[in-house]
Amino acid sequence: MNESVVLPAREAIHSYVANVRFHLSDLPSEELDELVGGLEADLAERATELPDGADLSSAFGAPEAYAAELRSAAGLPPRVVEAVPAPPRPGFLREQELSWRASRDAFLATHSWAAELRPVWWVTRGAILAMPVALMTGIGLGNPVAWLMVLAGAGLSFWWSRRDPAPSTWTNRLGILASVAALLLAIPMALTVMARSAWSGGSNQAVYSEPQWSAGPVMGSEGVWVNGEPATNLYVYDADGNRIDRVRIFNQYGQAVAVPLEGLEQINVELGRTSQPALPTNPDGSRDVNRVVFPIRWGSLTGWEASTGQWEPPVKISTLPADPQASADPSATATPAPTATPEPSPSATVSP
Amino acid sequence: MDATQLVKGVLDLAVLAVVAESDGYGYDVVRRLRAAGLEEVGDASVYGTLRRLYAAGALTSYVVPSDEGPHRKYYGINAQGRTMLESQGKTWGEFAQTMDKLLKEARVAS
Repeated sequence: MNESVVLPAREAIHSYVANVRFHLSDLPSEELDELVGGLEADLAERATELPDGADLSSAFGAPEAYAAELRSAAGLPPRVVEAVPAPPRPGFLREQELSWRASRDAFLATHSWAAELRPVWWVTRGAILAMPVALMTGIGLGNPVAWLMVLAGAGLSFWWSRRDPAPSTWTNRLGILASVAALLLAIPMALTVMARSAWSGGSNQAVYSEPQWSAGPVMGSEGVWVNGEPATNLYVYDADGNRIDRVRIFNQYGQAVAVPLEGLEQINVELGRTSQPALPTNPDGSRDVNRVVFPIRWGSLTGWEASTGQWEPPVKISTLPADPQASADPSATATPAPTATPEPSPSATVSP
Repeated sequence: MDATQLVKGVLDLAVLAVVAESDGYGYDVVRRLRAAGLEEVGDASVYGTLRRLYAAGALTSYVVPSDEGPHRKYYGINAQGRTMLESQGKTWGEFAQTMDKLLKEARVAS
C-alpha cells in the first residue's frame, strides 16, 4: 500500500466506523463502546489486505448491515426505532453528513484521480473564500496585500483539510460548509470574470489602465500648451525687440506659468538624438530644471538655443510701433496692433 | 446447504476454541477461523460473538495501545470459558456423530 492511499483509507475507515456507531446509537454508550472498541484497528488491518482502491462498503457490507450483524451476534435486541414522534430530528445533520461522507469515500476509493485532486480543491476553496474577504477590506484585487490574503486563505484551507481527520463533529462540518460555500461563490465569481473578459474583448489585458498622457498631444497637463503641443520653451522680447532673460510670467490667478513636464521630456528625447548631455535630474527622478523662469536653461546653456521646434530665436526682432499712450503711462496695458505681432517664422527671421 | 447458517450455530464454540489456543484481537480471530477452513464467517459476527462471550463471563479482555493508530482489543479465555468450551464441544461431538450415523445409513458420503 503506497503512501498516497494511506490517508484516504484511514479517513474512510474512520467514517465507516462512525457510520456503524450511528446505527448502534440506541445502545447505552458503555455497551456501544464495548462493541465498537477496537473495531477501527481491526478494520484498518483488514483494509490493508484489500486491493488498492477497494470500496469499504463492498468489502465489509453496508454500515447498517454490519451494525445489524454485530448487534445480533452480540445477542443484543434489534435497533429500537424511537416510538416518540420525533421533533425535528436531532440526528438529521449528522445523518446527512455521514451519508455524504460515505458516498464521498466510496467515490474516492474507486476513483484514485479524484483523491489525488483533493489537495487542489482544498487550495482553490481557500482562495475562493479569501477573495471576498480581501475585497471587503476595500483594498481591491490589484493590491499585493489582497493577493497575500488570498494565498493565506489557500494555505489555511489546505492545512485544515490536510491535518489528521479530527473526530470533532463541528470542525469536520466546518470543512464541508466551507466547500459548499466556495462552490456557491465560485459561480458568481466565474460569471463576473467571464463578463469582464467579454468587456475587454476577451483579451487578457488589464481591464483598467491609467490614462496615458504620452499617447499624444493631449491638453490637460499643467503648463503651457500651444496648438495641442507642450511648449518646450518660451522666448520673451521687449517692445524694442530685444531679448529679455530670466522672465517669470503669471496668469489671471497669479499662478506662475510653466513649461509642462511633457515639454521637458520632449526636450530630453531631442537631447538624446543629438548626443548632448541629458537634462539634470533630482535624486527623486524629477528634472532639475526651473520650469517657470524663461527662457528655460540648464548647465552651460544661455536658454536662447533652438529648442525642439528647431527655431533659433533671433537676437533682435522688429520694434513695436510707438504706442501713443506709452509715453504718458508706461504701466498701462498696451493694445498691440495686429500688424505688430512678431512672426516667428524660421525662414523669415533666421539671422544670427 | 448454506454453510453460513451452519457456522452461525457453532460460532460460539469455534471462537472459544480459537481463543483457547491463544489470545487474539477481533480480526486476528477472524483470520484464524478462516485459516482453519471456516471461510464463510463474517467479521461482524465474530466481533459480536466475542463481545457476547465476554459479557457472559467466558472471556477476559484487555486493550493494547498502538503507536500507529487506534488501540487493539484483545480477548483471552478464562476458567468459565474453558468449561463452556468443553461442554459445548461435547455437545457438538455427539451432534456430529449423530449426523454422521444418519448420513451413513442413507449412504451419503460425508
